[in-house]
This record gives sequence, structure tokens and C-alpha cells, in this order.
Amino acid sequence: MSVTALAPEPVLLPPADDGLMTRLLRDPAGLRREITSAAPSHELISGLLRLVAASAAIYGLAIGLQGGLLQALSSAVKLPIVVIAAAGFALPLLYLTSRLSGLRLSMSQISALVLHALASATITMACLAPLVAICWLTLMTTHTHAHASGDVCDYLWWVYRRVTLAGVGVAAIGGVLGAARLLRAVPLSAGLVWGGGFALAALQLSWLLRPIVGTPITDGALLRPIEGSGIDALLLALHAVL
Amino acid sequence: MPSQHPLPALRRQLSAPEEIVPVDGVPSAAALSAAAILGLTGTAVFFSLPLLTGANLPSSGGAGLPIGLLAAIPLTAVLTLPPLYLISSLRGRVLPLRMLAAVGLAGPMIAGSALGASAPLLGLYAMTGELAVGFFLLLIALVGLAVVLGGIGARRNAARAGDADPGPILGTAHYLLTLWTAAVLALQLS
Repeated sequence: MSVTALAPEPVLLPPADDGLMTRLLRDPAGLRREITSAAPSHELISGLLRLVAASAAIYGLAIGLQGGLLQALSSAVKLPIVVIAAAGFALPLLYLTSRLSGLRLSMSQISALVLHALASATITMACLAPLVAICWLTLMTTHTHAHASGDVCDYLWWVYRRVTLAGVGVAAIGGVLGAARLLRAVPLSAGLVWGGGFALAALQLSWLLRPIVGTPITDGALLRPIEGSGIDALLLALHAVL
Repeated sequence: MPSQHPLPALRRQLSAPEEIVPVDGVPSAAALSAAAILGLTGTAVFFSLPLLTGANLPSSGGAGLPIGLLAAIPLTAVLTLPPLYLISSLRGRVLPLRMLAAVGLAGPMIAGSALGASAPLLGLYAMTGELAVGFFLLLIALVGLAVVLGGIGARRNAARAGDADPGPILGTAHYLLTLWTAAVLALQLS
């Protein structure tokens, strides 16, 4: 008997049209080709939009958990708004720069490409969201054994900083994946301009809609008053650190 | 064939804001007007957004700035196109007047469209109602981006214009002269 006869049969994956999320994860290049070859259907755009909203909501729920149930639910509503609205604010710049870079796509195609990248990023974040929750639960379990010997408040802030870092790390992984997928479809210069615009819009929106990350000692407010802009807060924080 | 009617021309310009000089010939008057409207509107909207912060900027001329800009752009065209025409003619270029206008104004119009495209982002920061360092940095960054995009657009349109291409050096010089003139006139008129 020959060696090749003993080789296992290759496992064939089912066709990649059994759900938008499956297609997005298994065959992103095929989906991208579909978007760039013809005007994307309304169903495709609304499907991608729903995926982004649902995934961002799951991630919002996880990062808001340390502030209690109300904070978690509020973050699950706020985060999809931040992600989708920030993409919308940066979209005209992406359209103009990609046209100037020689990419002949319509606004609906560019929007679908952005949603394709955002859906990849937010699905990654939603799938890794349990890690953030597990991190929080682990640290809080340690807290129940340790709080008798120390200051509870200090310990909660210690937990908060670590869980926030875990949340930022997960968001960074999702962001890198989404950026990589967008840069496969649009020129680098256009992608960089969009990335900058998206980051600035997301910074300001998350500043306006804060708190999004739950804090251990919360005053129960769903929205805080407007205190300057996100850039100013960032500059202030950098100044304090440096 | 470029559209001769203002509304379809405007719709076409919105879908292809970078295309002032068409691939298939001389731009129509309607297409040029549509490009000018889009660029002017973008510029006026962008520079009126700082007013949302409630601040009266001494360098911007306050509420008069958008009106000043609208008056400054046609004047800029009047002041800067004749030198381009003269130099290009001396270099023996073939110059239909509309093509010259399209080549000369492509950069500023695309820069205006870029300002319009970044207006939502600036508006998001203007709505916090505070004129602070962050807002100024963003304003400068977005104007810088628009100037760069306008330069790229000017070069691409000039290259598409064939014989009417003034060349990279003259094209860049004319683009910078146009921006400078528009800025000075806007400040003077507002």
C-alpha cells in the first residue's frame, strides 16, 4: 500500500455563504472582492452594520462590568454609537483621499469596506471580551480573600487599572486586524488619513459619552458633563505623566 | 461627455470631487461651476465651524469670515489666472480658456472639498464649545491636510490636461500663489 493511500482525506469546509459572520471570518478576501467588484447590496451593508453594532455592544458590556450592571448596559449602548459614528465622521475624508489615490470606488463601496474592517475588529474584540471579564473576576476573587488585610478602595482602583489595560490590549488587537483588512482594500495614504480621522472622532465621542469603562467607585451618572474636548484631556494626561 | 446642466454636474462632482479636468476633453462651464460651488461650500462651512465655539477669533474675522471667503475665491481666480495664462502662452502651450481655468483652480477647489470633507470632524470638536489648544491643533492639522490633498489633486488634474499642463514647478508655484492670495483676500474682506 502506498503512503499516499494512507493520507487522511482533506476536510472540506462548507461553502462560505452560510452567514455573514462566517464569511467575514473564513473568506474576508472573497467578501472584499464582492464589495469592490460591484455596488454592494443594501442587505450586505445593513448586515455588516448589525454585526458591528452587536459585537461592539458585547465588548461594551464586558468593559463596563466593573462599574456594575447599569454601567455595563450603558456601555453596551454607548460603544456601538462611538464606533459607528466615528467611522461616519471620518468617511468623507477616506472617500476623497482614496479617489485622489486613484481608487475608483463609489461611496457605498467605501462604506462597505469600512464596515467590513470594523466588523472584523469588533468581532475580534467581542470574542476576546470574556478574557477581560475573566481578568476582572479573577482579580475580584483575589480581592475577597485579601481585602481584610488592606484598603478596599485602593485595591479596587488597582483592579480597575489592570482590567482597563486588558481592555485596551484587546481593543488594540481588534484594531490591528481591522486596519490590516482595510489596508488590503484602500491605498496606504487613504488608510492612514482615515485611521487618524477615526481615532480623533472616536476619542472625542468617547470623551463626550463617558463613562464607558466602568469605574469601581461610580457616582451612578450615565453621562458626565462636557468638560473640554478629548484632545485637551489627552494633552492634560500626557502633561501630567511627563 | 461632461454634463452641461448644473444639477447633474453638481451630482457628478460630488461623486468624483477630485476630477476637475475630465479625461475626455475640455470641462464644461457647468462642471467648472459645480467644482467651484463644492470647493467654496466646503471652505465656507469649515471656517464657519470655529464660530460654534462661541469665540470671536481676532485672526479669523469672526462671523464675516465665510462671506469674505466666498468673495475672495472668485477674486483670487481673477488675480492668479492671468499670470498662469501668460507664462503658459510664452512656453507655447495650447490653452483653451476653460481648460486653463480648470487646471489653475483644480488645487484650491480640491483643497476646499477636503476642508468640506473634514468639516464633520471639526464640528464634532467645535460642539464642545471651548476654544482650546486641542481645537487649534486639529484646525491646523486639517488645513494642512487639505493643502497637501489640494496639491496632489492639482498635479493629477494638470497631468490629465496634456498640453495645458503648466509643469510641476509652475503648477506648484501657481497653487501656492492661489492659496496665499485667497487667504490674504479672505482676511482683508472679512
